Amino acid sequence: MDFLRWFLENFGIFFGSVFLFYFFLMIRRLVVLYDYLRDVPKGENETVLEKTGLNSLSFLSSLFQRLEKSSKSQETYSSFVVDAIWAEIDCRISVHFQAISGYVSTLVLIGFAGTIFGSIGAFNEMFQGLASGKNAAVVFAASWDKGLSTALYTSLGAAAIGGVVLTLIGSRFLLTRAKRLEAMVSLKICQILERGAQ
Amino acid sequence: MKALFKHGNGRLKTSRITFLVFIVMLVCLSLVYKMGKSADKAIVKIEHVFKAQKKEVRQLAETTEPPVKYPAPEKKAENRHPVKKNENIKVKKDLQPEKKVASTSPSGSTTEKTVRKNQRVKEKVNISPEPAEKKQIKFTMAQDLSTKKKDKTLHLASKDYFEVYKHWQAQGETMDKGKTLVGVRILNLENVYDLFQMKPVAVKEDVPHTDLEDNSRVASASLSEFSSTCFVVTNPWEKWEHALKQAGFSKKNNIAVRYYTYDFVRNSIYARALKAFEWSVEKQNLPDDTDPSTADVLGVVYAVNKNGGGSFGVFVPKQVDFNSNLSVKIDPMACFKGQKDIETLNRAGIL
Repeated sequence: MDFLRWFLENFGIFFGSVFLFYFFLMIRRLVVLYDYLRDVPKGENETVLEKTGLNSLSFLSSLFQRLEKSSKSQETYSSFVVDAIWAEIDCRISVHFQAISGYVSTLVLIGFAGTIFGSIGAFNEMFQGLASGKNAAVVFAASWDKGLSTALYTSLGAAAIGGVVLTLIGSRFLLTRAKRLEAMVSLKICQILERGAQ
Repeated sequence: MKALFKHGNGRLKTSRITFLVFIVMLVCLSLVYKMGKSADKAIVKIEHVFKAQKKEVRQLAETTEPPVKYPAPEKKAENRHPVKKNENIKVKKDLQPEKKVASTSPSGSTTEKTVRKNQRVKEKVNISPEPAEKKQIKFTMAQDLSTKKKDKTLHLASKDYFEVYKHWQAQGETMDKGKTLVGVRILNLENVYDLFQMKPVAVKEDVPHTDLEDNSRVASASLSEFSSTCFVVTNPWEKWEHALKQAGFSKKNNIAVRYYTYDFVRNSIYARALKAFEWSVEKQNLPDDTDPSTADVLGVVYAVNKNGGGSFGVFVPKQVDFNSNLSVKIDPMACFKGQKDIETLNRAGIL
């Protein structure tokens, strides 16, 4: 509770709440990505060819069945099913990457807005304090309370959270696995189409 | 456990896990935040332990030594803080300390001793012979002071301790700083000065010279953080003989001992003294414009200790003496009605 109080006092009620909310949303997207990608091999020595039957593609099983059926009957319809499979992957995986990138961008903008907003309050307090002849220490302390802390902490928070999340997105944990998942799906489609052709 | 976080088809329950991860991250950040602050708290606790041990020794000394002594307040005679005429604080250097009288007094019955003590109190407060009724008041007061001497310490739980402390400190915040001050005498100050964060300083030729707590040389500039009002010990060679000798002074030197105090403590003490003065003026139907400088307030300091360490002093006026030889005994519960520290002391049976 002390930390939350400190967080809201220094970031400001509005910007602190927005930061926490975006933090929650980013965690949610990362958890969803983890759910889809946790079974995908990330090691460089592991080959995706041996992993095509894993649970990682289970969310596409109904589409794969549909593709198998189409490939056996009318080969021309198979391309539509393949498109559907890639659209589904976009919906389940790619959209989360885009969303997280969007959150980071928004958070940077919110941080920038917090800096401007806080600076306005701090300068206002400074000018009023100096005009009324208060001493420098009092003016500085009042400026810190009335916006300077928000200005500095929102910038720092946006930079820190943005940096960490962008690093996480580009890491082997997420991006490599996402690419591997696409490779696994391609191979699975190829296997199904080959079986249909035979 | 699996069912808590996983669906039947093996997919994760992402909302629950998100909440869990979010809470865990907040807890981790809180722990990091607390770890960053713990060092300061540890230092504070260590200081409390040292203070508490020191005070226990002092309390023991207080119960074994002859008790009543009379440091009288006056304006500090320091160049940086010239004396202000509107703060009329009395110095009664002709008063004899209780310690000396007690050691020379002949043995006798308890009643005789009490009567002699009563007479000594009268001498100390510089009062001429009074009618019988007033003597009775004096007698009761002297008896109270002697019998309650051993019970001037209150132990409180942390929550009550801080409430009482805040209330005591708030006294000074409401004091009218421009008001003429009443004289103040504190009976047991040499035993409890540290509860007020006071610094005992030997003053040689009206210049602050030695800190009597550690015998270090005191530079005048180092006292600038203290109030311009300080309390003066009436008989320094009686009360601080050992410390003065250790500091290298002899009785030939023109030595005074002052307790330097912070403004907030000084204000709390004087706020209460002024309240006692106003109450006694009202009680005796004296004119509303009675000058506070024509009276002085005699009071006692009670120690309030926190269970586990920490303590402070509370000043409680006992009697107001007017220049017109009128003395008014203070009823703390009537005079300081609604004041939490007084009520707490009273509930504990200490007042």
